[in-house]
Amino acid sequence: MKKKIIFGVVVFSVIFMLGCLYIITTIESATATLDNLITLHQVEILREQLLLQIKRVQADINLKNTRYARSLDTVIDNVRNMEKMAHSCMDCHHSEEMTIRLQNMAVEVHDYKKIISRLFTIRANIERLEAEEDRAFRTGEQLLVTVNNMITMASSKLGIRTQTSLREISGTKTILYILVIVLPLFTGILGFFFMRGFTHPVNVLLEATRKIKSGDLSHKIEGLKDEFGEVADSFNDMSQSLDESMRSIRENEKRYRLLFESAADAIFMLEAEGEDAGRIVSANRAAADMHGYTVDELLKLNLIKDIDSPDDAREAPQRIKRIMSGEWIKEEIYHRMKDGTAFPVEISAGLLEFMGHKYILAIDRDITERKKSEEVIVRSYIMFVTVLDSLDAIIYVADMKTYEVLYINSYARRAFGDIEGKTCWQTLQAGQYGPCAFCSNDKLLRPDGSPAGVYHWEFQNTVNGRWYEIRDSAIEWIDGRLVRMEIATDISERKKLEETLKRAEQMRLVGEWAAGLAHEIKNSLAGIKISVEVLGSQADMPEEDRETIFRAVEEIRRIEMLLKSLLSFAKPPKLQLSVTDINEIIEKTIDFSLKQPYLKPEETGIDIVKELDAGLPRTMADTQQMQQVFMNLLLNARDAMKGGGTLTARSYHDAKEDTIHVEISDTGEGVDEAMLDRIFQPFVTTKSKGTGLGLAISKRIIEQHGGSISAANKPGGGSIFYMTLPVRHE
Amino acid sequence: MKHNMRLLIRLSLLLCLFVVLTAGCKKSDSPPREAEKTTDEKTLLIGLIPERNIFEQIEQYEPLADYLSRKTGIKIKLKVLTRYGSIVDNFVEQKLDGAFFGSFTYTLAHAKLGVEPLARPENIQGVSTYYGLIFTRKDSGIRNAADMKGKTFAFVAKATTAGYLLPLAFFKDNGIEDYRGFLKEAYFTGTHEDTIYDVLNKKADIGAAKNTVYYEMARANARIEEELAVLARSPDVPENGLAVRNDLSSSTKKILKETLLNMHNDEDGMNVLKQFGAKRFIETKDADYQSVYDYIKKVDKYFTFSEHGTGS
Repeated sequence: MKKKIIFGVVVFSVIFMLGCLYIITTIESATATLDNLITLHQVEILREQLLLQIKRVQADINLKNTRYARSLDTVIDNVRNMEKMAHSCMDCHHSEEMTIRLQNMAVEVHDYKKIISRLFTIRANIERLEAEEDRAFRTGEQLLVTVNNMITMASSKLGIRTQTSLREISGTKTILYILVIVLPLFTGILGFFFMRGFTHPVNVLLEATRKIKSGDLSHKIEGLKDEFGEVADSFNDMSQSLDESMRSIRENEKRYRLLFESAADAIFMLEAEGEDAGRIVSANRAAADMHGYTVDELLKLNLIKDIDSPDDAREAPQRIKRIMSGEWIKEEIYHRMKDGTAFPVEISAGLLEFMGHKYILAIDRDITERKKSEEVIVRSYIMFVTVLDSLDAIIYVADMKTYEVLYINSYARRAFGDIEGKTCWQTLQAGQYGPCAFCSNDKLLRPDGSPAGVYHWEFQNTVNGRWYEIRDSAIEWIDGRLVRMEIATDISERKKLEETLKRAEQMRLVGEWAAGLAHEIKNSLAGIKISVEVLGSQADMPEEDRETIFRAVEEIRRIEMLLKSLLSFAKPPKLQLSVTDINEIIEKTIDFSLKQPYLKPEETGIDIVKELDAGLPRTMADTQQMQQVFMNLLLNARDAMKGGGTLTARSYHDAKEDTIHVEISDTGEGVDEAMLDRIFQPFVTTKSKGTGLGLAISKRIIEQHGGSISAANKPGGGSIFYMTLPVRHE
Repeated sequence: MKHNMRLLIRLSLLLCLFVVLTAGCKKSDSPPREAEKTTDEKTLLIGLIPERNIFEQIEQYEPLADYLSRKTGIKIKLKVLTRYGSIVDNFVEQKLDGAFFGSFTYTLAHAKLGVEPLARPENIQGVSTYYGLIFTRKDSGIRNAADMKGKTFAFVAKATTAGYLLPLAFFKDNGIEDYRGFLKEAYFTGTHEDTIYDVLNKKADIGAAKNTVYYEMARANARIEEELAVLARSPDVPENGLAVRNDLSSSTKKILKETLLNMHNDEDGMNVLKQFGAKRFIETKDADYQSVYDYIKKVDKYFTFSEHGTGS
């Protein structure tokens, strides 16, 4: 099309140029012709002037000798002018013939000049002078004739010339008029066609755009060529793609609207900024239904003011701020329905920029049900956790493959620390370099890999050394994997008890055996004692020998005592209970011991202090046995205070527990810390000559009464023995 | 496209403008700056003797006068006189300030009016003098003074050296005391040119003119050499030079003299000299005219100014 345009422009330019050129040339030629005419006419005038001038010169000459003679200067000027005029004829372009004629004329003028000069300069006689004058006159006349001839010839020529020129000019004028009319017309027509070449396609395009504006995207442009054709094609493509886009947009729109409307959750689009923040711009059906409004009603409301609960509405600005900073918030708040009912919603909201305007997109879900079930779950969880954590047994869950501790209860936490996520054989046991050899995992599964049932076993934990009764089972964990659940009850005490019982049983057995043995020995010993006594009763025995036998008898008595104690210990006599005043027993025991030589204060240097509770209640007790106990303690105290000291006997009643407490303390050497527990064990003694049974028997007696006995070292030195007896009524 | 169109339009406009401007311009013939010279006289009227035909005389000296006007700043006007004698007789009457005098007229003017010579031209050949010729047609049969008896003699003017003084001297030398009786007719053509023409055209038998005019005319007209024969020539006398009235301001006289003397040094002057037919102007003093004075003495008997009538 460019070519077309260029071509068109060129054509127009050429036409224009030609037109201009023609006009210019015609004007030029016309003016030239007219110029010529004028010049020619001027020439006529010039010729006339020349004629005149010649005549003037003639006149000068004629008047030369008269009164009216002109000054020489004037004459000279006239002559010279004449010559000038004659010569000026030559300036114009003439035909050859004319030029020759003019030249001749010039020569004539020149001669005339000469003659005139002579006329003025000559000084001669009359004849000569007259001759000269004649000559001058004739020459002048001749000149006039010449000039006249030329004039005449020229005039006629001029006439013809003028005619032809004028005709020429009028002819040119006619042509010019024609051109002036025709050319614009022609140009106009050409232009018109040319324009059509442009306007038609443009109109087509315009029409097409109008159609598109009106919505008809299926309109196709046809029949345009070159660049316009290209435009048309692009246009068609564009309208097609537009059509398609529109279609897809509509589809999308429908889709999204469907989505919007059919969503089960409430979707709100709110104003994000300004005073109007929170105003509902758009809401779906679910939103309306959820809140008990119609969609139209919703659109009149402001979410924050009219729907949020008052508390949540207060917090709304913060939420909006977070949203505006680009955060997508998820909150649980309360909304009010149309009738005022509040219900919990989970809101999920964020910033939405659309068409340069900021909105909040909020998706709300009615979580009333969820909240209820959540609460149930939470409650059950709490119950569960409460139960688990209140159990005083270790409960943990560990992955059977990875040995990862998945759960421990608070009892286990107290025992082993926060070991969730750690490996069970690293934390629940010590010194393991891999899964415990004694691990019960393989005992928990059937050959087919399914849980086998509860596996009971007892084990002493390598970390804390306590004994546990363990119940392991493989269970399916919440994520489907098999885990070991262990419930371990601390049976250390029981174990101790068992141990003690075992030992006691052992002891009993030993006792029984010992009793049997003792009995046999006692019998033998009786025989030995009688024999020795008989030996001793011999009168004639040396004193030394009698002493020796006496010593022997003593030894036998000692063995008897020992046996008796042993028997007493092994076969404890049954308690003979009666209502007793403990204080009384203590008093009696102390009095009795004081009377004994080995307990006299003067000898032992021991002070006895009594702090006995006067209001001590009576209780059912075996007086004899209790006596034995107190006696044993007193004796021990005495043994401890070799250098003297103070023995304190204290008793009091614990009304709350309804127990009687007796404390016997000394200021002696004290008991070795390590021994404090063991001194109550049989055959344990710190004395060189003790049986080691005293305290054991005492402990047995007290315990038979349902009480307890223990020993401790006093801070100030010495020991104190505590006894507790429950008050027993009949 | 649009761009190109615009460019085209611009160019054409520019062209038109250019044409218009240049059309209006013409090479201005502005004369070179005239020398600002302060002189007492603003115009000078210089007279010309009719050495040749009066028109030609003006044409000859006009360039020179223009040049002097340009150079000196004084307006030099020329006035040609129809009579040699007028240059002296009517000098004052005509209000002339100076003139290009002939050698004879100079002496007369100098004696009568007290004019001061300034300069005279030197021709191409370097000659600043001329001499007189007496000539006749070859077919006239006149060969000497004796043959001239009863013939017509064309003089130039009584006030001319070559055209009168020198022939008189010639006659004197040839024993002819009074030419008027000797010759049939003697008249005065007024110019050297005409004298030559008259002899050539058989209007007179013998003529006397200055050599410069004679030979110049001979160059232009072959007939002169062909048909005329020179009978006698005179000794040299100074060429026509410019002399001015001595009561002109000294500054004027100085400037005129200097301009003329230095003419050949500038291009303009050179051109004018060429046109004039001279090489340069040289200084002229009264002393230079001694030969003329001698001639006057020789022929003082015939000395009258008037040529009117039959030449008494």
